[in-house]
Amino acid sequence: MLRPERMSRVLIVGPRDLLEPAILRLHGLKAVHLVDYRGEDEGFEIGKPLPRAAEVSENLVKLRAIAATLKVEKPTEVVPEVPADARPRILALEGNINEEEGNRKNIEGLLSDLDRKVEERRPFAALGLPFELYHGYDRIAVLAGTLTKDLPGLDPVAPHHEVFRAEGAVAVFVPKEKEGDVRDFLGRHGFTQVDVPEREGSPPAVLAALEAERTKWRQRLTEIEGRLETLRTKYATFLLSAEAGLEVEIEKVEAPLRFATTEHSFVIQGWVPSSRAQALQADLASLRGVHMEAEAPMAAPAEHHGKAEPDPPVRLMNKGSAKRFEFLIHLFSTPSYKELDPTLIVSLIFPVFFGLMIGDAGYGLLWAGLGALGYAKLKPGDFRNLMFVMMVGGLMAAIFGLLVWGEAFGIPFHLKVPSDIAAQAAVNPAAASFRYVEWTREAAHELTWACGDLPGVANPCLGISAPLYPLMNKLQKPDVVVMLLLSLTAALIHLGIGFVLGFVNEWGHSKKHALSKIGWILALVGLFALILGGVKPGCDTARDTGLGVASHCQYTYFVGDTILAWANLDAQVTIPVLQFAIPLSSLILLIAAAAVVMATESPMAVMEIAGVLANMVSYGRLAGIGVAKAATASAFNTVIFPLVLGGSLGWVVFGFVLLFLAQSLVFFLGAISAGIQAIRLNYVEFFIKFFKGNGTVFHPFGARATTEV
Amino acid sequence: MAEEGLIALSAAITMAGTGIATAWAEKVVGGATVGAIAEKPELFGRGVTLMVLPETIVIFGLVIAFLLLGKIA
Repeated sequence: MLRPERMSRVLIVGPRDLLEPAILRLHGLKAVHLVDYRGEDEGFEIGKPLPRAAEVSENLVKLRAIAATLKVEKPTEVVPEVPADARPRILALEGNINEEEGNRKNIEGLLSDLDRKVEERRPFAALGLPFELYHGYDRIAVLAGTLTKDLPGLDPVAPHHEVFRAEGAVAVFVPKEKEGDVRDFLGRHGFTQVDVPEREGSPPAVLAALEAERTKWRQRLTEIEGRLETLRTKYATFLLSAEAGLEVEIEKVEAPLRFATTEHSFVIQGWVPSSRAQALQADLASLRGVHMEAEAPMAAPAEHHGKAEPDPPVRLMNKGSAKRFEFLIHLFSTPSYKELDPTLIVSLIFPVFFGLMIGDAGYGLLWAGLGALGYAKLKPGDFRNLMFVMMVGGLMAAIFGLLVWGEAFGIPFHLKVPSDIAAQAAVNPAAASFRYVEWTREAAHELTWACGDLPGVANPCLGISAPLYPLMNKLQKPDVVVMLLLSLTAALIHLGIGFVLGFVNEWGHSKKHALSKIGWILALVGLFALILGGVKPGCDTARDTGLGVASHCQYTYFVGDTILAWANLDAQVTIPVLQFAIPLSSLILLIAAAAVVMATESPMAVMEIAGVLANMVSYGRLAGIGVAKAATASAFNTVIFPLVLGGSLGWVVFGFVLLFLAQSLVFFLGAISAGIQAIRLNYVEFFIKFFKGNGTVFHPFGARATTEV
Repeated sequence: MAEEGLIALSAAITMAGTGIATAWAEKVVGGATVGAIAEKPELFGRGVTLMVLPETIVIFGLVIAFLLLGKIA
């Protein structure tokens, strides 16, 4: 699970005349990831495509041209199949379509010409003067065309003139010597001159004739398009499956371009999953003359000194739900063959982080439902896997929402007395009851599902009582501090796993580098102890930790006293000059960490311990996003619910619409930010501790390519 | 009372300052990242990693703001 599948290098040799059978066999087996030969060895040349390659690629080009002309759309599922009579069918179809397509282009050209003519003649039809009246004058100039604005009198420009006007058109007859002035004058009033056709007859009749011709050609065009449509429906299936089939065929006939050949033999290099090597050998042995040699499975951290060996391709070996998370890893980078595959750990951690940040039963269940629906309905692919991820994350969010935060849609099931007041009650009941009364005044505005929970608090409520009491409230200060401490604990666990994986990855590579990971783990634990320095075992309410009163009571509830007691955080050392108190255990761990890191990496690497601290604080976003999302939802609810709960019908309807929009916003934005932050903690803080990536995905010869050939 | 107000203001300034710093840093990195991804989609993982790095600034701000608010009794 944590390692990619073991691969063996294979070498397949045989005589040239068995090249095609060997290719067909390998293609059918879909087991060998080919390594392209680049012509680097003397005596071997890059192979030539099989003789029928030219015809196959010509067919494919023709087919694609036909499909483009017919605008055949690609469905997602096609069965690749090339019928025996594919070529004659393609050629017949090509001839047919070329003719129709040619006709269509001609008619389209003709129609655009007719359109232009009609538009030019339209003004003259409106004016009503026969065409012959526009020509043949010795001393009169004719200005005819379109006019968009009103035309004032022409008297100031040309005293002798005659104007014919119609809707949008004008014809002006003026003496020749005034032509220039009148043209300028008209131009200023939105006039565009149109050339008058040199012909006779009445313009409306001419226009009608043109329009009749245009209708005739339009009909012809519709007929041709109809015929093309018939061809499309008739041949779409053939075209698509033949195209897919020819793509497969191309892969086969051009395969020799990836092989090394001599005059009489061929050599194929590649990788095969070690578990299939023997079966492959037996299978190829049936081709008499073809011989396959498989090396032993390549060990995980193989280091070939001197010569740079190419890494085997990587096939991740996750099963079940973890497999659905693989796309998240590939999105970052495919793991290299030599390192551990983090998919399983990401698949466990991501939903927990997502759930912690959403932490709401309502949104969680909705996302789980939406994810399940998408997963059931969508076709296999990354998006479907994303839906699966959302489903699992939503489930975790619902679990946390029900059991830890006790809230749905940003509304808590029950009111919760702030933990600092509750804790104080044990030590100083008088002070606690005073603060309780003060708090009830604020709580009177808080919306809850259940009604009448606490004596003396009449807060707005929905009247649905679930027996799920919140352990924490995201909007109460002491609980937020606890959430920050829990986030730091998540950092300790997550980063710790990262360093352990880094140790394993480096062990086969360099023992020294592996040991440095131990140093980083020491630093991590030391820093964690330093931060928890104020948090003592036992619920000592009298002590202010600097993180808020009594926060450690809540925290020890989640983490357990034993760990804190074991860390013996009480034994503090004060650093002389800085007057800074640090738990002894933390100090020892940090000094040990610095020593290990200096010995295994470099003296300057000590500075990076601050980087580990930054990484840990970065997990504060687990609490931060949760609080921000809860605060947004709570703000919307507080503002909008009074509308829904009381008032006239119109306000109630308006309130529901508003509430729906506001809740949708929190629902989607919350999931987007929680999803991005959860994956970011994996990509940045976690992966940097061990992950190098840059692997090649195992793509066996014969498996359908997802991209165009 | 005045002291509490100052603490609350400090927390607000911390959030605003780190928020603006993060936004500015992500703007610079994000622009370049989107450009790089358009050319080479396989850079997505590394691009996102680089782009979200400055987010840590505002998380620091958040933690400090909480610690400051913890001082208000």
